[in-house]
Amino acid sequence: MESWNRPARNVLEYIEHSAEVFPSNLAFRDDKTQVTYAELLRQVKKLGYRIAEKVSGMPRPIVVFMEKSVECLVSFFGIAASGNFYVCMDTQMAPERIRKILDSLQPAAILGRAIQNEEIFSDYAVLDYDELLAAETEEERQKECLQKIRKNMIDADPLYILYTSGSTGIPKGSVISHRSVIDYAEWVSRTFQFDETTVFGSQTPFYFSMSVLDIFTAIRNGAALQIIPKKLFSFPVKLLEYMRETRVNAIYWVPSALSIVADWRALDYVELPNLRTVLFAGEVMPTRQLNVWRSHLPKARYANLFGPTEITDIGLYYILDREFSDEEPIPIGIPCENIDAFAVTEEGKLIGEDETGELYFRGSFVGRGYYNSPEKTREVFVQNPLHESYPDPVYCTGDLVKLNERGEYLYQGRKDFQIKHMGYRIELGEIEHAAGSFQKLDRAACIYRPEKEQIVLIYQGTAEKQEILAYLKDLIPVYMMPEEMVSVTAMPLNANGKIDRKLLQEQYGEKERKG
Amino acid sequence: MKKMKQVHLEDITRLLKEIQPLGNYEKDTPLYESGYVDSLTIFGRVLPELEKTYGIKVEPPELIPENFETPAAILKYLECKLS
Repeated sequence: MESWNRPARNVLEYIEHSAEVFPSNLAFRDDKTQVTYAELLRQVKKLGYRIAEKVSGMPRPIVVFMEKSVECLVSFFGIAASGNFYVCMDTQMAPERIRKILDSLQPAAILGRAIQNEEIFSDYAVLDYDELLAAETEEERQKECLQKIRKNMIDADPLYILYTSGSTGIPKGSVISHRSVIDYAEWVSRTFQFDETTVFGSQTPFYFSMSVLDIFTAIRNGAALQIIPKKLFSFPVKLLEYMRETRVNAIYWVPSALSIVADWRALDYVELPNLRTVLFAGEVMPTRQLNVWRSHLPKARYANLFGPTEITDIGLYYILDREFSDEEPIPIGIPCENIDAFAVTEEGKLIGEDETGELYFRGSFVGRGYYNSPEKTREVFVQNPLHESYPDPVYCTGDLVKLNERGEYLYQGRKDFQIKHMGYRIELGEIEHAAGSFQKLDRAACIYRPEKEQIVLIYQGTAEKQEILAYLKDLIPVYMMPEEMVSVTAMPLNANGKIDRKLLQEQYGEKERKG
Repeated sequence: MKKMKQVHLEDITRLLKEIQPLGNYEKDTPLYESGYVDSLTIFGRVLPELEKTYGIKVEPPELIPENFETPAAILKYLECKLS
């Protein structure tokens, strides 16, 4: 975008710029509604002004309690325009979890559309989106009010808080600033050459960090974000037809969504000549299913992205530039521009050849920590472990990685999933990956029973146990072979569509004995 | 060979009830909008159960909302498939 005189400081500049250069371009669309950039800017300003009238004082969190929709997106930016920051909440979430989040968040208001479960929100101001937008506003006063708010904002101010599950059962809210999101959207746009012709097919929920790429890259470039109805992810052929009809040409999905399309051979039935970019993150992409996509759409660009919510979305990426056999894992690649990623051994040294270490991130994507949670923040937002010369905050991921001979990072699993078994240090993720490459297995996950010293493989698929063992024997050492195998009809997934390891551990592992 | 099976609406609602006991399944219950069925339950439970019980193989082009949107739609699809 050559017309930028200086880097953006507030994501609203993206919308203002797109509304000026591409006013009639489609910004957001779902099954019911759509808005152009000109209309989006008008609605965002009005909503921002109306919210600012109701919520004043220090910037505070405002909860968006809405289904995934165009209105939900307009709300995010309306809240930003009001000088506050948004928190998108899963409307299907258990009331107990909502309550826990509200308790820690103490939001200034809840923004929704005809909210039903009012008793959860009885302690808070509830704002109705449609009422706010319906009211008449006086143009001059609105302009003055919004300008005044903007003058007081800096790019280090929070844009949103995104909650992820905490191992202790209390969700953690990552605070992400305008600066982080802007630097991220700039990197994404440059790296994947997104522009005003891009149409994102949005799959991930807006309370999931992956949606940040679709949303902010779209507004930065005057591109379109098409919300794909969730239901279609049960009907792979229909899903692809829908993408063709809505001219989606870029997707950033979780691997399980891509796998459903591959497993149901949907690409045999529907051609997607316009699909240019296929990105994925969130969990390990099974190479076998990725190869199905690549053989059907050889011209598309594929990339594996990697990073936690705490650093906006992504810190490492790998653009597929060579062939991979079904058994080979896809690298998580190299650091994004202006991001430093490094891995440190237990001894506190940078990893050497063939060594595994814990991954750290440094740079502007790194978030501001957890909201109202100084202790949790201090645990993972730490001083750079490689020096003490000056304050150098880094984020410690809890992910284990090593480097291949090309200098690309390879994912080795979570630190919490690393086990010591018969004296060997084992990544359960490695066993899972080996099992996942087996044609007859749809999904595989591993847990460890520390008391019985057993590795348990839980799988979904048609394979016989003996067959799986025979297959694994060629891929992993004997000491990593599962001692027990459990067949399930459906692998439990969490709210983000990832395998629910906590639940598996509860169901098939043993409770650790205390004392 | 498998014996040809007669399908009843009750068989389908019972199956759904077993898979997701929280739901109330009538003939025209919209399974997806009701929130009781999602892609996980469809691929993980509903399809494997139907394939096993009725000895059928669901082909990708048959996996469309028209065939799986309501218990009545599933019934119609199965009758078609079995005849």
